[in-house]
Amino acid sequence: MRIANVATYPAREESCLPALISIAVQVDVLNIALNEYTDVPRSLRGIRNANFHFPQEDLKDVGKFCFEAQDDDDVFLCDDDIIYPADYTDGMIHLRQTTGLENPVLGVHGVIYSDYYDGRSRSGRLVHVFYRGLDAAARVNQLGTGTIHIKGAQMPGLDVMRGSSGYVDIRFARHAYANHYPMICIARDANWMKELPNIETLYHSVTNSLPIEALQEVQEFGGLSKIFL
Amino acid sequence: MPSVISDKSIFDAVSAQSRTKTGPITDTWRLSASQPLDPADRTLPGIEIFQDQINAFASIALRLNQDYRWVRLEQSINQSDLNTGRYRVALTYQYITDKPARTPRLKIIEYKDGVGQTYLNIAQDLPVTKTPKTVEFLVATTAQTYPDRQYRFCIEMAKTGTLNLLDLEIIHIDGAIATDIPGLPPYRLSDLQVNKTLSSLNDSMDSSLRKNPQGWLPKMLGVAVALEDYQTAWGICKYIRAQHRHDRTLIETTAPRMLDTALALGEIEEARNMMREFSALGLCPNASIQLSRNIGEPDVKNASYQFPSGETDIFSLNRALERGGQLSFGEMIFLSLPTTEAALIWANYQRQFDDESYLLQLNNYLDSFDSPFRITLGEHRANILNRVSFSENKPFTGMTHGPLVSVIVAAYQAEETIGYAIRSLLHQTYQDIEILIADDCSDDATSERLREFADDPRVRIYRGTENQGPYNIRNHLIAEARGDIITFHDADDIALPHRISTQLEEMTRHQAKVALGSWLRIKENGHIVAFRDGRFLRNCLNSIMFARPIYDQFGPYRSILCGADSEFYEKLRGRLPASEIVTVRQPLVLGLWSSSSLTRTAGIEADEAGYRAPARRAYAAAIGRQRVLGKTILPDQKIEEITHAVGIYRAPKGLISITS
Repeated sequence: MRIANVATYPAREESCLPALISIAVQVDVLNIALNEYTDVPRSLRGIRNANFHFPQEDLKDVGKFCFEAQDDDDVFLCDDDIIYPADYTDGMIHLRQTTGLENPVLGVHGVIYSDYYDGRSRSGRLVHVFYRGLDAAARVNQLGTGTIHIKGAQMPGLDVMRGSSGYVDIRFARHAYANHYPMICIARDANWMKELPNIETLYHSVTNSLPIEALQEVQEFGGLSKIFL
Repeated sequence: MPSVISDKSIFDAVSAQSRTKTGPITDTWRLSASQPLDPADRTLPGIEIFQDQINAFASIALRLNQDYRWVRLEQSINQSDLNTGRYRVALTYQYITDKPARTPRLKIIEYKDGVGQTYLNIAQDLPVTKTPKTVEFLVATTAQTYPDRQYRFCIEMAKTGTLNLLDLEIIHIDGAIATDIPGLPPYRLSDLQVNKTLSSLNDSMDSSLRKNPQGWLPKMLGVAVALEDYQTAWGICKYIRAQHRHDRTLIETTAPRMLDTALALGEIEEARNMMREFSALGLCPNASIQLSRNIGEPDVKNASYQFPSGETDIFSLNRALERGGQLSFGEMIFLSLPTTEAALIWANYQRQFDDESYLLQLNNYLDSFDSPFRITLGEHRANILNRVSFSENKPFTGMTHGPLVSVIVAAYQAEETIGYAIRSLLHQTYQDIEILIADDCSDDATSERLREFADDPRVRIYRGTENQGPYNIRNHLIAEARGDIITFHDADDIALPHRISTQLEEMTRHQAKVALGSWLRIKENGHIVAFRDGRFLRNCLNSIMFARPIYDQFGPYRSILCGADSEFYEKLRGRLPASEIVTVRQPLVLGLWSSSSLTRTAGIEADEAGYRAPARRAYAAAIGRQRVLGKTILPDQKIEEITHAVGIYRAPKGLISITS
């Protein structure tokens, strides 16, 4: 089964619909964590295959990790501000099969850290931004959790991800490293994937001032020396 | 402590609407120009300053639509902040122009009666960049400041173009560098080459690793090796071999460090694989040849000791000399030997024949440093250091009196060596010393040997209540010491008679707070050890000397079994101004290089070929990382967990006095 997980919140109620529809039409179930909502917003009620969940606390971006999956499910971790291309899930599943790797994690937004990363913005990182082209697949330390494909068996539980709001990509990368999952940033053309304009994402606010706990977590898996080759 | 003297109020004060007038922008920032067209209203033609957005980041844009002699964004600085010391200036900017000949500059201007002149040039001609770039400068000044003058940091433009200022940080570093300031890791503040390199590599990583891996990767590998972070270095080697195996230029540049790393880890089979890969690219670096020789590859075992580059492989030659009978006199005289080391190589050659010729060469070597003392050898005993005594070569004219120097000695299972070690201290030319020795709970006759010195008023003897390792002993004994100056001596080493005098004299002459000597490592059979870089004489961290406040500020030594002296020294090197540390480049200590030496003890050993035992490596890597990243990112607790995990942690125990 193909499953996509995403988290959203009321400020995105109007703007997130194109993003959610772009992924919903490609999967069997779209799990949506409705942070800060008490009822399903009108705009999302038309998504036929949506499974809504109301977290007891505001999980923010961790919300996408509060869903169960069967081991063999194809799970897509998504964001509510990205328009996924029509061939996204087919393409990712096909690429996964061709890697020849055991338990790979595939993604589109990849980061390689310096082995001596100090948390400064615009320093100590090479970023393959998801909307730019990439000629050849690259092994990376971290993949953005808005563009990830994994199997259900590889999903971290909510207990692993809890507390990482604002730096879920880092916590997820630590989970992947600890479990020896190689992370592959896939080759693609520029603008294969698009970000919805004028939305302030958590990503920017986090990378501008990385909390010390997150920075310490990066030390565990970041660096060229820790990339699974 | 570092203090931030930059002021970011300008980022809030400038709106998206352009302003075109000179004068104050905030209480601290102002815009000025060389020639306002209309002094009455200070409106400048062709100049705009406004808030601008670059990607997701706010910036201040200064746009010149016509050329000026200069236009400056100036931030005033308190004269009291601008005392002597070092400054770290970090600027994140973007600069686009059609006239790259005269790009922006950074400087500090001194104003007196409204007239400015350059007080300090920080950077000339910042590079043109169409995307945000961070540049960092470490600058030092000793120029006097005056209370009746004004000082302003400025970013100066002259030609048409647009400068976007995204971030600015000016840090004044006064004295030692702190390691626990969030967001300001120590490597960003230090001017050690490895730190400057790392800073530049990190800041250029996105573009450089993408576009110029041949330039970036070798330098990052070099940083990891310099930090003795061999696990990281090994990972980088694997990355290079996996991603760039056919890149001859890159492999040629990194090959020696790759082999160093393989050797440090004891990955001999992988080293062989690497050498095959190098060979397939037509590469045969000196390091390959040397390594092949020392791991017994049959094709080079009997080869010449010359590298193809013409240099002599001193390390391999010296190892062959230890075995004896490997080279004839005729072969020896055809070797091209480095001037300084030639005497030691000949000493090792002559050792197989007679003491007299050996000693002649060894003393020739000491003479080359103008040593006032020569070595003489007594009757034959198993350990050559047990036979060493010294005679005056020429009248000694150095310091003999001055501040009290406390010499700290930790002894463990040292019954065979402690006698000559202590005697070498008692025979120092410098008279004002006390010697504090503690037996670290040895189960041999070390304690009995120590009692032989109990009557000497300069000697105070202690014994640990339980075995606790040399660095806990050092910490205990420093607390007992009365001297203003602290130094150490190992229980199996010999200090040349002028060792303390020379280190102290150098410290005094240079008004430094720390002095290192140098040493030769000698095996029990008299063979003098060369290391893989071909050098014999090395910094002797074991006998570091410092003024007591240094310990108060940077101590104690870490509670571990090995390597804490390196950590302490590197801490000083990274955090003190270079002028505070002097190194005496002459042999002042003869150190025993045997299986009983701490450095050669199985499980924590480091050998002359470059191998480091896993426990030593894990600890060295952790402290190397902490040195650059600081304690906020890598807290001491984490280091302690590592030292526990690899079995080198030693809990401090008690110490009791044996002498009154």
